[in-house]
Parts: sequence; structure tokens; C-alpha cells
Amino acid sequence: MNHDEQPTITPELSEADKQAIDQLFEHGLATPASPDPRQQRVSDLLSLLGTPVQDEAHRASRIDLIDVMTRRQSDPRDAEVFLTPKGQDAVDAFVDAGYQADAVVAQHSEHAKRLEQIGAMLTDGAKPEHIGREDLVISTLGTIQNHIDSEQAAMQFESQRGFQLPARWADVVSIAAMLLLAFSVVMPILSGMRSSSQQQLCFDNMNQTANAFGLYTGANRDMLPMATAGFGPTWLDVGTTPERSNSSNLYTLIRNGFAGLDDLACPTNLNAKTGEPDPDAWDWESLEQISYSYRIMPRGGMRATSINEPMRVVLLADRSPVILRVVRQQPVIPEQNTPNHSSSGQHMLMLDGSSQWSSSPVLEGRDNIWLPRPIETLIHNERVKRGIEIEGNEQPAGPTDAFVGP
Amino acid sequence: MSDWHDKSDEQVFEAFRAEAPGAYRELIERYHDDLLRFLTRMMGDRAAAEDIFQDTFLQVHISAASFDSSRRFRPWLFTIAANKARDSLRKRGRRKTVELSAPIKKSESGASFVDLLEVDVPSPDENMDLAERDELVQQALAQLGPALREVLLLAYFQRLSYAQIAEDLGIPLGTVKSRMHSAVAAFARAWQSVSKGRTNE
Repeated sequence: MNHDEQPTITPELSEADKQAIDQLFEHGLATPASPDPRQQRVSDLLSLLGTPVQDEAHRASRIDLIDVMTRRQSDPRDAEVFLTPKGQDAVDAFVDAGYQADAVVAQHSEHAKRLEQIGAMLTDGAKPEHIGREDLVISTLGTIQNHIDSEQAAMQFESQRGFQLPARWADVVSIAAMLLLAFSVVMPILSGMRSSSQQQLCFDNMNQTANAFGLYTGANRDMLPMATAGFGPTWLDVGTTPERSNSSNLYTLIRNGFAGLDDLACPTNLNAKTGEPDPDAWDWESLEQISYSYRIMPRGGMRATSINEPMRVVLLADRSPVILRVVRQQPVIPEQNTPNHSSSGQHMLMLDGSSQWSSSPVLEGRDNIWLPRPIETLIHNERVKRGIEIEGNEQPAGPTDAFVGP
Repeated sequence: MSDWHDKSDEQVFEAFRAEAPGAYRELIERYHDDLLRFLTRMMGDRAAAEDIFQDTFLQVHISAASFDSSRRFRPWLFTIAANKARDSLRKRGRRKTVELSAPIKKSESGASFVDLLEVDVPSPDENMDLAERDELVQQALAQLGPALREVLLLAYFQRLSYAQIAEDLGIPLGTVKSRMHSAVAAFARAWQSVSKGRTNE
């Protein structure tokens, strides 16, 4: 037994044992004339360590004893029980046979069957794991996404704060020159490849979805996708009531087979749901699964051909950071970019089918795509006192007021 | 559309590293039941197991670049999970009091031996309430120290050879063998104790 490998739990002696050891040391490690059971036991234990090694057999048994006692101190639950030698051989044979009792030689088969039954008890369980399965998957992905977000925020903070090196200026200049050289060669290749491949995938998604919108409106008297006529009033309510959430309006493209889940999944969103859609689903299951935000639909719907300047109407964009913050009850930052694409900017699909990349969510005329005009006006006039509040019943001020969500 | 059905874990993990949408979710879903059961057995309760489950996949995400793609994903995942569980148990159980003078049951030769053939283990088709059996297994496991519980569960959940366990845990082969023997013995004895307690009730 390798004692270095024992768990690092630090065992602590009971007060009575400490006193017994102190008394033994006071007597020069000699057992008192009439020791109590505790003193006798401590004395026996310590005497193990002083036993002279006479031959290999004694040495082996002494190591076994020390092993047992050491393990006992590491964890008293494990110390005093052993398999019979035949049982030990059977365990080895069972492991060597890949935990298959059928593959074990006949002499160990009875033991191996027992070992297989033990394995079944340990690994099968009562199978309660399906309960809350989707919740755990989503919360795990959420934990990861939060980690990525906080890393990005920390990097942004660091880059704004600058950095200090405990080095001389000459060293700093040399290192900076080398780094500059290395970055100038490597970074454009690596960073460019990575972000451009992700952006290309998103552009492809936009184009694919533009086709889906075209097919949908063609089949639905020019009406843009809408889940139910009774939609509203809290379009923030993702995944619960399909007649309410704005994302269920966009999901109509998937439900009716005009687009796939993958077409509406940004590669930078780890929570994005992909693959075959559930035929009974009306919406994504949570806000975190959504990669793109859709124009907030007015009650009664919106006809694609009713607008004079379709090239100015934002139909779809990378997901809104404002809505994410509202739902997470965090302060809203109106000019924040989407969390997709490392917060460097967002794609937008316009009503005329064209798509574009913008490094800011604010368009011409100070039109913020994450907010309706009345709130933009409040911000512009500095009349927002307690932070921006969005309840999920806000509507675009007019056909050309860009406002997407959730 | 992505169809992961015919892809191995390693292929899905590679797809995740290449930033394929949905790949990481697929891995989490694939291991949800198995890893959660393993962690529930290790930790003793579902809530703690769920916390470690999330920590494990966060760690896998952070360490993705270090994964050697020529190796198997499953042992790597379980080793990370076992490390996380061990750390958590260590924090929970730090500073235990050991009663040196607690009685040690001994046979004539000085040690207590377990004969597996004398242990009454229910076969899968036996009519025993699964939830009850699950609870008893958990009670029996709680009687094992973390080191033995870990080696027993890693071995059975992953069906690893001694050499693979030794490599994963970074301990000598001989230590793995003796721990496995002790772990089986300790579990068998603990099972006997809890199942007898049940029949006596």
C-alpha cells in the first residue's frame, strides 16, 4: 500500500486518546503497571512501529499491520475487512474479463456472478435521473455561458485598465517588440480564421432564414410568421405559453418546416438547440437556447408588403443582450452588443432579405435595435431615473422603428 | 442539420472543439444519466451530485484544448468528475475525529474476512423495490471511506482494467488491486449489514 496515496483528510485524535499518549510519553513509553484499555491499545499501536524486523515473513506481516492501522487513521470505515484469498483472485479474474461473469474461468464463476450483481446494484440505480434532466442540461450550459461571459468581461476590463509589468523598460520594450512580431504574423491568421468562420456561418444562417421568411410569407398572404393571433401581452415569456412569447412567433418557421433548428442556431451560443425539432414544440424551451431575436410583432400581425422601406426594417438580429439582462434581473446597458460573436457586433437581416454586420446596435437616427423608440427618447432626454425597465408589453413605435426580442 | 447518432463521443468532442453548434449540449445529454448516477453514488445525495455535474462540464470546457484526441473521452470525463467529487468530499469531511480505541472486529487470524458467496445480493430479476434497493446501496456506500468508494465506482461505472485505473488515478497497480479488493469486501460487508437491518425491521 502506498501511504502517500491516502486521502489527505487530516485525522484528529480524540481528547481521551491524546491524554493516553501523553501519559505514555510521561512514563517513557513504557506501559503502566495496570493500564486501562485505552492506554493498552495506544501502547500496542506504538509498539508496532518499534518491532524489530526479523525476517521477510515478519516484515510482510508488519507492513500489513501498519497498513491496516494507517488506513484506519485515514478513514476508520475501511480498515478491518478483507476478501478471502479466493475472493481476491475472483475479483482479479472478473476485472480481467472486462466485468463479464460469463467470461470468467469456471473456478471463479460463482464469485464472478456475485460481483456482477454488485455491479448492477451500483450502476443501475432506480433510474430517477430523467427527472429534471432538461433543467440540469440547461443550467450546466448556463454555468458555462456565465463563465465565458465573465471571462470576456474581465478581458475587456483588463484591456481598458491597462497592465503593469514588474520589469525594466528595456525588457518591456524587447518583449513588446517580439510579441508584436509574433502577433502580427499569427493573430491575423488564427483570430481571423476563427471569427470569420463563425461570422460566415451566421451569415449563412441569415441567408437561409431569409429564404424561409420568403417562402413563409408567400404561403401566408404576405403575413410575417406569428404563432397565434392572440399573441401578447408579455412577449418575454419564453417556452411556457406559446400565445405570448415573441420567440414562438419566430419558431413558427421551424414548426411549419420552413427552417430547421440549426438554421437558427449561432455557433457561438453554446446553449443553442440543434438537431431534429420536437414535432409538438411551439417555442424554444428557454431564453438561453435562442440565438436570434425577431422583430417584436404587433398584435394582429404584420404584412411584409405593407412597408414602404423594407431595407430599413430589421427583421432578425443576433440575440438581444438587453432582454437577457432584463430576464436575469441585471442592469440594462443599451449600447451593448449581442453576446454572440464575443460581443464584437451583430448581424441583422432586413425585411428586403439583405443582411449586414454592424459593430454597434445603434442605427442611423439613433435607433437602437434592442429598444423601442419611447424608451430611446427617455434615455436621450436623460429621464431614466431607476434604470431601464422592460415588462414585455412594449411595441415598436412604427414600421421602421427597429426593436427585436427576446 | 446535425445528427450525432452515429458519431462517437470523441467525434462529438472534436466537433465541439471545431465550434459545431449543439455539440457540447449533445455530450452533456449523452452523459447526463450515467455521470449523474455515478456522482450521486459518490456524493450520497442528488443535489451535491448536480453541483459537481455542472462543475465537471465547466472544467471539461475550460480544459478542452488539453484533451488528447487519440484517447477516449469517457475516462477523461469520469476522472475529472471523480476529482471534483473528491475535492468536495474533502472539504466536507475535513478534520474528522478518530477514536483509536474503537473496537476492531477480528477473526482468529487477526482480520475480518468476507466471503462473497455468503453475501446475499439480490439478482436483477428479484422482486425488490428498486427505490428501496437504491437507498440501501447508498447507505452501504456511505459506510465506505472516499478512497474505496471512488475506486469501486470508477471501476464498475467505467469497466476499466487495473492498469487503466492506475493510470487515471495516478497510483501504482498494486495499490489499485488492493484497494479494489478492500472496496469489494467493504461494500459486501456494508451491504450485508444494511440489508439485514432492513429484514429485521
